[in-house]
Amino acid sequence: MDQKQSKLRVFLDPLLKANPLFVMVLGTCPALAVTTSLESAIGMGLLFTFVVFFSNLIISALRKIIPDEVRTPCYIVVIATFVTVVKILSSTFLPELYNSLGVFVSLLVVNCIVLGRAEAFASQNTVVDSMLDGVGNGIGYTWAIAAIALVREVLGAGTLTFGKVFTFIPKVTLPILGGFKNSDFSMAMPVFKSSAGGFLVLGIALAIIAAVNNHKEQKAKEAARAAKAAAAAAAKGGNN
Amino acid sequence: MNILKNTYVKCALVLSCICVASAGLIGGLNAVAEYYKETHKSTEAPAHIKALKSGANFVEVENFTPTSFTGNNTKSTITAVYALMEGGKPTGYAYEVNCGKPVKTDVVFSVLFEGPATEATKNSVKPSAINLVEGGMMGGDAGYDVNVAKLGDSIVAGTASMNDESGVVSGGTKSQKFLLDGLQFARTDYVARINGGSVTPVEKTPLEEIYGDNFKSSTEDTTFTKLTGTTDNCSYEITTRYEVTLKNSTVTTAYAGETSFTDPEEGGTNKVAIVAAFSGDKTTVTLDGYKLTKNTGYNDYKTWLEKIKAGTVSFDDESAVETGSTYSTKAVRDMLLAMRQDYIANYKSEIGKLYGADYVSDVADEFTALAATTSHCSYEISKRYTVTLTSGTGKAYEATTSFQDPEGETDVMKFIAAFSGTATDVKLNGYKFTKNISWDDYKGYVDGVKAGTTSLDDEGAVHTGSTLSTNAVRDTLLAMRADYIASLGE
Repeated sequence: MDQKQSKLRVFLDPLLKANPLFVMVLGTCPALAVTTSLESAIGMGLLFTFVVFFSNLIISALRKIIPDEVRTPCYIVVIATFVTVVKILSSTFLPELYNSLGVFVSLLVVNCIVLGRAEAFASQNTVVDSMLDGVGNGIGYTWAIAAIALVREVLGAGTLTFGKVFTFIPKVTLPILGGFKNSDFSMAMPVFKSSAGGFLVLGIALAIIAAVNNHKEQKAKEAARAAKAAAAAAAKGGNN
Repeated sequence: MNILKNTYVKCALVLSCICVASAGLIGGLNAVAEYYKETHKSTEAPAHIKALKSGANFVEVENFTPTSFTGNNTKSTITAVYALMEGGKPTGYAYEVNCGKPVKTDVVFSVLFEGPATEATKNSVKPSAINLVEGGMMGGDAGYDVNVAKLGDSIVAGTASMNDESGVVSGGTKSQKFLLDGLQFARTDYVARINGGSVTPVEKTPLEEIYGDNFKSSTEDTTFTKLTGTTDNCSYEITTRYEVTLKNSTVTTAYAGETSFTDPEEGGTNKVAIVAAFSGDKTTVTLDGYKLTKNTGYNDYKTWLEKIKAGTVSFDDESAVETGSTYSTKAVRDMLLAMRQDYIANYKSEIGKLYGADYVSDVADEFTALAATTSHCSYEISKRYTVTLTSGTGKAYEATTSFQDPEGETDVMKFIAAFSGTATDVKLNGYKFTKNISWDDYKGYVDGVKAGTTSLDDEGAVHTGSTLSTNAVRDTLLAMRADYIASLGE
């Protein structure tokens, strides 16, 4: 039962509690660059998940074989291999996604989350745990950049477009703050599409999450203090 | 086996194995991907083409050679054409167009045109779908791409026109203009293709574009030496000087050059190439027209050029350039000033051209017009010029002569004739007809007089064809010559 709970925690922690972007503030460069559209962000998240999952798997499987002296070069070769794999796959089967992400696919090689999970987790844990950690971090990073992209696309373009990057689905543009048929009305703020807008949205998101975490911490401290006081009172009553 | 326990050997072995496995995986996958691309290339339209019309059958037009066309802002290239097949025949065509790089990335889009279209209705043909693949700034400043995509959507919706730049909004204006050029080119091809044509429009030369229907021919001036210069604003190179002959017999001068400048705000070297046509005399040089053959995209300098062309702004008014795109406008202005300077230095009046290298200058005489009627014509010699030559002086005359043709109508000719020499040996240095008639064998006669093979006194020499007009010209030339001989004694 404990083992099950531990595996669940390995998977769930990166989603919220130890989210690589919102809590650990890692991988912010691609998070700012590819979050101008929701589809691109989801695409980036999927490629990231693939890389972190398979690199964790292989590194964990080889952890007892790889000498400590060459572990970093070995990890980089493994990660670079899977980055090259996603490059080949995306350019072949989803060229629009590949073109929209540009250099940021290649830059996954030096993504600190991928390298960090390899070094901090996969090299010290079992294959199953490492796979769960990889999927958890992948999903955690994907939803985080998707959330930022959703805000930036809606506020920046006034619309949400699907089918432009994932061309196997019909192209649809949903008017939200603008882009209405036969109307030039738009409340879109193009600054949110720019790099400055990316920093703004990420900053606000980090502030909200920090506030929530602080609030939770505060409540936990208060609860602990109350429990301590209650225990002290109970002990005092017993003595009487 | 002990050697495997050595740390260095183990490290090298493990790293080598991982590298080999990695190379094998990537190599194998790459081969599969290439095979997939190859097998799917010929049978399937790319996704951005298919996205133009959901569920439609697009078939690539075979043996299509990518074709380029220089528009108002950029050189666009149609890289592929796909027929929209319905009921076994094409009902429309989809184009893949690359408009070049305005700022960071190329503007690449696909566009679908459907339905009948003719040359007469061309300007009202609008695309039924546009799919922007790259908007010129994808990645870093994708916000600007939104305006490009929005312009495309507005054109499809019919709320913006692709015939002019009225729909271009601030933010990514260069990319939007590139899109318009590409759309116009694709539409031109569509109108030809949907009517059974498969030939894309022949690109006009810059001089043909400048002069339009009035253009006749042009020759590169081989005596021209490349002009280079560096100013505070730019470095320019004027490579070619053209002598342009127009259908109205006017001969003008045009130049081709390129100017390079650095935009201190954005860095990098920007280049503008232009073909500019000049006319007028030394004191009234005018810009007849221009064609930009290389743009920077930040092209408010076009506004300045238009003002120069219209004559509302002077070349010499430096302050007039301070209206936007300042650096590019100053760079273009400096190059045009150098062109104008060369134009002035090489300028020859019509009279000067008749005398050729011997010519120095000319001045109009105070002259009482000579008018007379002969048995062949009525003429009026309206102006006379004293011409300074390196070998002496000469006189040039402007005249109008008219005569009755066999149909009983009055034909009028106007010409300039240039004389020099002594009273006993008058030489016709040249002539130029500014108004002709259709029977112009008289030119052969005048050429003979000019060459000295025909005597002006020999009336018999005119009986070679176009007799009436030749006699009229001869009578006028005789009157000019008589005045010239008389003037030698003044």
